[in-house]
Amino acid sequence: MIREYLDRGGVVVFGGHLHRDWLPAASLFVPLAHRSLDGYRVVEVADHPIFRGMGTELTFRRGVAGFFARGHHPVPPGAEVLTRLFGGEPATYLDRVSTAGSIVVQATSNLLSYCGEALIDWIVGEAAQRRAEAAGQRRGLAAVYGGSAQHHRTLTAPKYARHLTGGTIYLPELADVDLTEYRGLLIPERSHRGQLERAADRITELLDSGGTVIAFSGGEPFPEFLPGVRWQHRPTNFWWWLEPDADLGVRLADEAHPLFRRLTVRDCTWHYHGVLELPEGAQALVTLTTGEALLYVDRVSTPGTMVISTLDPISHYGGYFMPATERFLDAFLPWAAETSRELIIRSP
Amino acid sequence: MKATLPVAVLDMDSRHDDTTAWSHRVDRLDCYAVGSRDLAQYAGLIVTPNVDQEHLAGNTA
Repeated sequence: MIREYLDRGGVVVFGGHLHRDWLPAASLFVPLAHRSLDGYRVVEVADHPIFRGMGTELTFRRGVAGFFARGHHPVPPGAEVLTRLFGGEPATYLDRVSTAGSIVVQATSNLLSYCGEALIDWIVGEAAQRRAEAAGQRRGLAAVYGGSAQHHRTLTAPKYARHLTGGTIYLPELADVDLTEYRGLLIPERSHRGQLERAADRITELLDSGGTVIAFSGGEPFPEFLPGVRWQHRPTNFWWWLEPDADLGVRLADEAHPLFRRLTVRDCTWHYHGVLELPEGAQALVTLTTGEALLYVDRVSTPGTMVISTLDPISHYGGYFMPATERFLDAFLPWAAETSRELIIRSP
Repeated sequence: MKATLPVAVLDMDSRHDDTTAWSHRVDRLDCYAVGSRDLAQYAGLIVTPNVDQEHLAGNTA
């Protein structure tokens, strides 16, 4: 019943200690190993409407600590931590990924007694949004998950998964998924080519229905079913930055573009794997000094939107390597999620 | 008669008076209503610490 309720876009807020498996994706309660005043301290509170205006004072009630949380529930992949205790334990999390609804899990206490009407207000607004999404409106941006450790780390990192409101789709199952139920699809670099080709018709249907496809390449040619994509191999220079005053030659083609509100050229610069020939009518966003594109947006070749790039941030962030890729994803994914909300079907 | 409210608090049958400032905005539901009540009428369920989790997990008849 709870699962069914959530799958229709419901909101469930649980506070307490889970000791049975009834809440999707949740794990059983783990008590603090050493209960102490310091251990009970709430040291981190996210900027979230539930806790707006509240902070570390959550630790105490009439000067006594321990009411708020005395342990934690392990956080499911993609969930967002809202509060943490002194030892780093996540006392509260929000999971908008595991079901079509939203789940808040609070260790130990009933959040209603802390947050009152702020919690009720949030639930009402959240449910309206989630129910609308669940009832006919398309799901959000989904990401193809190829099963690699790099994909897993990036796509399930809470700060990135929160933008993938369509969740992840396991690549071998992609061909069986009706992608027109989604607003967009992110295809990470270094995905299995044969499995992608099996899903070519589904991806084409998404584009034909006005959806967004975002594809990266880490040195492999782009799938040929993506219209208008012309890629050329370039040898990858991993060591360019060892030279004093080195310049890889990466440039922002249009600094006024919304993508670059938070993204700088430095955040786009680690290396690149090949260059792209810009389709007529497409917009280059990141280029080389030669004029060749590393990232472009194409709203002309299909009724939908394609974002194509020869950068490989998902592999490198997922592989714990190259800090610029994290800065890139921090700015790129919010923009990508926003872009995929557009569902304007154009005539190609 | 209390109107149906958009948010339900799923709780044990404690029969205490709800004197909170937000009591008019929530509907208190016995946790054993899960399985028989149409939950779709509620925007959200706030599940309290003392509920019977065996029942929620479907471990009881």
